[in-house]
Amino acid sequence: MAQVDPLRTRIVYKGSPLEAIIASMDKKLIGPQIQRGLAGIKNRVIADTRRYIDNHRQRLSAKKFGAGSKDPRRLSQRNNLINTIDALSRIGQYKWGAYFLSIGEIRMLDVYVPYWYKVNYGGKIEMPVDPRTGLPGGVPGYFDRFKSPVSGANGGLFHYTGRQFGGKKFKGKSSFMIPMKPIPPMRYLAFMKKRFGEEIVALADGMKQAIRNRTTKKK
Amino acid sequence: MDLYFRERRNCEISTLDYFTAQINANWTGISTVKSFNQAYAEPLPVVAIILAEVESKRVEIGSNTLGHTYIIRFDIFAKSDGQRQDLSDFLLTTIQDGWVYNTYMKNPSNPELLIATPTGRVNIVKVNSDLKLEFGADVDVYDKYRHYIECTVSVSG
Repeated sequence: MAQVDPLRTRIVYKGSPLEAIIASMDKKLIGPQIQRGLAGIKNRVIADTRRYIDNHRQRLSAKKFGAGSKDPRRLSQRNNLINTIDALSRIGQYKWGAYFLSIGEIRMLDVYVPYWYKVNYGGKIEMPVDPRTGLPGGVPGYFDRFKSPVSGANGGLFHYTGRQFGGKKFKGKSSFMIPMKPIPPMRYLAFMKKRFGEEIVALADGMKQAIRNRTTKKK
Repeated sequence: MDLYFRERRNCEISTLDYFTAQINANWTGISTVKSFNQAYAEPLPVVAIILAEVESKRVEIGSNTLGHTYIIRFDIFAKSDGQRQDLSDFLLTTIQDGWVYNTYMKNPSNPELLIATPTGRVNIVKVNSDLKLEFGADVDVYDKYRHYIECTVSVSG
């Protein structure tokens, strides 16, 4: 039987030990660098997501006439979804020193852009039930500047006016929309997650390089 | 007329064929469709299997060859929460070992028919998402018990 040499492995340790690298970090210098890095990430991720949403939107968002909105800011904004995510994103620092970047805030998104979840994952618009008939009664609202929808025309804006049954009635001329197709999923959250991951890796690489350079200079 | 399909189309049909067969062998009355809108036209429960994105990167430095990974999305529309859990668990268990990759061509004498030839495997690179979708209480019946699985796959062979 042929004799087989056992596999020999030699591990050679090169470079500075991790403890030495951490000890060499000047926290006063690193802190602002992280903050600048996170601010850059936030701006780039939001800008790219804005482009992504614009490329995937089915129709332009409403500029005004937001009768069903809960916040006055919504009325003056186009691109309400990404503007709200932008406004709710922030960089902070925990008590123990670590920095964080939070993008969006579910509790607030539910108030300002309640459709954020359905736009991301797709789904059918629910129709309120008419208590008189017990049947779905259509979605109350109106099309562009109170015009009736044109059959077969695409791109018209529908303005939701709130629940007609049991809720406050909209005082303008309102009609009912019967949604025929579901809202296709836009998956903008997955896009943000992917872009965010790429940026964090780039930031971590940059920080490692900066620390390595500083350690080399000290030697 | 092009008889042969390219890789991304082969990957999508291989995936759909495999999961349709697996679901039919283990469940009854579940439809599989390949687009989100189609799911709402089928009776519940439905699984929509969509090859959504392709990511292409150089396979190595100095090479012109691009390697592709595909993002496959499973949208589950269940009849109850228990069924949602069982179906999502079943799908996750079924995808973990990958599946056969077929190359497809149209039958020259009858282009409606496809001829499948096994030539490799679709391998799971990672599972990106596995989550219950909650739209609230007052929602359409199709959105009541939904689950979403997303995975990245590559083709070998």
